[in-house]
Amino acid sequence: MTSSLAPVRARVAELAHGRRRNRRASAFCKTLFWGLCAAAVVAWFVPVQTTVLALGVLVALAAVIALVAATLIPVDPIAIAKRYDDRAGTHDLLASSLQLEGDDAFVRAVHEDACAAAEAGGPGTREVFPTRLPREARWLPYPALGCGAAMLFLVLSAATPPQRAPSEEEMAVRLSGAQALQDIRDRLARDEASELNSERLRALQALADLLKNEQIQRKDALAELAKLAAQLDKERRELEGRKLAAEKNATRLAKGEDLKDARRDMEGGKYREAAAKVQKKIEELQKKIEELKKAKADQLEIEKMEQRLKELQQLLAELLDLDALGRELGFELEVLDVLDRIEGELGELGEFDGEEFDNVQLGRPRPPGERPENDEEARQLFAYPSNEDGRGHNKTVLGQAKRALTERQEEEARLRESKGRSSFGQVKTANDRSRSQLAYKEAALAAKQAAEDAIYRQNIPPGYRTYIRTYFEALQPDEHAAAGQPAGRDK
Amino acid sequence: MPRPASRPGGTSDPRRPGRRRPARRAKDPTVNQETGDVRVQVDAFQRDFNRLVTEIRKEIVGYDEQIRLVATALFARGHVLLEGVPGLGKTQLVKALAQAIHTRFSRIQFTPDLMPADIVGTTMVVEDAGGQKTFRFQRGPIFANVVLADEINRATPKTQSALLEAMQEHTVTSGDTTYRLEEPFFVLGTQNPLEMEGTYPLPEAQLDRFLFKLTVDYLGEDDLVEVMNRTTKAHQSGIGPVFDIDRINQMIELVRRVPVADHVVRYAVRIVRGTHPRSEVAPEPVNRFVKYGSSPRGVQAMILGAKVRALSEGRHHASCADVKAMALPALRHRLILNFEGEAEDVRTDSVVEAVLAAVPEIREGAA
Repeated sequence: MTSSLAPVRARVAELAHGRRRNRRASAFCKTLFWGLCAAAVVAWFVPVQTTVLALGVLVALAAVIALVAATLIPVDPIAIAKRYDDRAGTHDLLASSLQLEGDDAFVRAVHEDACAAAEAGGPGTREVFPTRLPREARWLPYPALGCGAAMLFLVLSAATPPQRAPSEEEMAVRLSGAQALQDIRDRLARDEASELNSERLRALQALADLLKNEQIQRKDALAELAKLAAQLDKERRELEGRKLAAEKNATRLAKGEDLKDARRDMEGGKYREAAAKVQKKIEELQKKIEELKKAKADQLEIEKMEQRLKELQQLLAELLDLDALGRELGFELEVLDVLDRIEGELGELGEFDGEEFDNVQLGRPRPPGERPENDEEARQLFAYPSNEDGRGHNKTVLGQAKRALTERQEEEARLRESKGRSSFGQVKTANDRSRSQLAYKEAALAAKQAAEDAIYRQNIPPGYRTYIRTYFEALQPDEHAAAGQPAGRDK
Repeated sequence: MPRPASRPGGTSDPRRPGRRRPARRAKDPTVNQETGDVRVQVDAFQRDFNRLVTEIRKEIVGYDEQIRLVATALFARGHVLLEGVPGLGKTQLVKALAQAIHTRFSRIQFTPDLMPADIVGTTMVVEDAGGQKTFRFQRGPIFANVVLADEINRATPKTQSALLEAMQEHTVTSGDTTYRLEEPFFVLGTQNPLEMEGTYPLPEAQLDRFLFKLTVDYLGEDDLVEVMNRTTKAHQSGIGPVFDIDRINQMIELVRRVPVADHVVRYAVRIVRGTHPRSEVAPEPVNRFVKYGSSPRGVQAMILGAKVRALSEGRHHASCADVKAMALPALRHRLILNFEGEAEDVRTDSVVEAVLAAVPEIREGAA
């Protein structure tokens, strides 16, 4: 008969809570440690918000793993009893009692002693399994610091200057532009015949909303405007290409004296009217063919007329297509005009003081201390050689001089004995270390003129023009700078 | 929760300050009466053991640990090899033990010319009163309860091997007759590590038969003063017999009944496996310096010693701490060092201590 070890088992079960608590803490810290190590690496490559979210998930995951580990991994009652014996100084009494079985008087005595020891109190759970910081916890600050450093770096690098509220004048321009865009959009949306897809309508609405939003900075609004303008411009070019092809086909098909009026309309761009005339001709021809068929006229003549009918039908299709293309192009041009007007008005509002466009800082007035006091100083300031990169504008405009790229081109060389390849290079930019023979003022003015020409020729889509114009204005030398001074390097 | 100053039912252990002994249920009338006898026997064992130790201390100054270990080996039915330089009281210790337990005691001074028959005995022709001549076995000094094999390494291997059967089987065979030795049969060999000239180191097989090997070291100043006082003045030790042979045999029987939990046995086994080079639990010094580790007799020695230690402390079961306490005397003579170990003068004690430090008392999930 084995004695009842209920008190011993109860004591061990009570102590097991302490063991599980420590195991939970250990599993939690271990998971957190390795998770943080991974996060410290990943944090450099993902947005801060994602990292914060991932850290939250990681903590939750660590808690779940700790809970599961403590629940599922069984605790060894013998080891727990041994731990208790070591703390209580009971010489493995509880641990031995859990293992010894049999009817021996010694074993029963051991069981009795163990029960008495278990009931007599002794060290509690916290003494047997004291709450200690797991070993992994000591290393937690290191990956946590790594995560923190990564996030701090990302936050600092992504920090934007304080938002400047748009002026009333600017808002008026923006609201007016938005209203114009809205009007076009509403009109086109009402026009059932319009083949404009909903994507374009949505883009117009989005830009109108953006212009109305006071939180959006002027440069951001201009950027969005430029994006839409570029897209419309691209579509315009495609439509023009298609229109050209359709016009060619229509001209080819519109032969004959009977289509003289229609041709005149086509030349005047009145495709709808031309189409109506062609339609009328088609109906007349169809009637004529019917009559000839009834009269059982010459089959050859009937076939000739049917061939003509087919051509007229093709012409009609081309004219209708041209009409649709014309309407689409009209829309594109109308929108582009509006965008152009908005961009122009926004650009004329004033300087982008202190506003940064990517890496280029524009229009920042030179601090009073740096302004040349007199002509001599101005001459010296802009005289070459200078060790500084561009005193007429912010240094960040050009940055450090870089080696000019050269274009290389390979050519077949015909030799007397055999064929081979030869290559020659052509330097397309100024040498980075050589002296410029052109005065800085002249160079800047020439560059500005070239930019203006490009804008005038509409090679630059709306939205980008303001940037370009402002940039080249910023490159202009101070009026104190004497003409005829060398431009220095890299200008 | 602060530990209570005094636990109900517990008594403080004088040998381990700060530690407490488990509550004794024997004093509780509700305790099962069937275990009462065992408790009485264990209490008696503890009392007699301590009496024996106290009695030997009357003659021997210092060497408390050695005295307790010699007594432990006696009740574990083992033999002890005492090693120490001459004059430290090894022989005196054995004589004091023999006086205290009131048994037949033999002292054999081992010399190179000692023959096996001088130990075991010999068959002689005896003439009776009627003039009839008969062969009679004349028992040698080994037929005693306590045999002191003094300077055992001075006898030839042939003579040393005469002890093998007696130590292991507790029997002596002469011709075709086997004689059983009277229990208890307890051999205490002594040897000194200094004079190696003309000695025959004990073979490993014989060393393995000693339960413990005890080293006797120099005494401290106070103990040495006490020795001087006792030996240079008129002094009567007054050692008297504490108990007789029957009581010793009862105590030996009781030792065998002490239960040992599985985790304690496994701990002893892991320690012995730790002495085996290239085993998974062997620490670096074992792999480096040990040629052969302990035999299974090492486990037996530790477990038996642990049982005696438990009883001598009034406990009904052996613990890991008991095994640990027995590890050094039980294993130090069972390790054979390799050439590197010998060359670097590595002590087997340090190797065993490294094993003890490396082997955990319990492995979770594999008690």
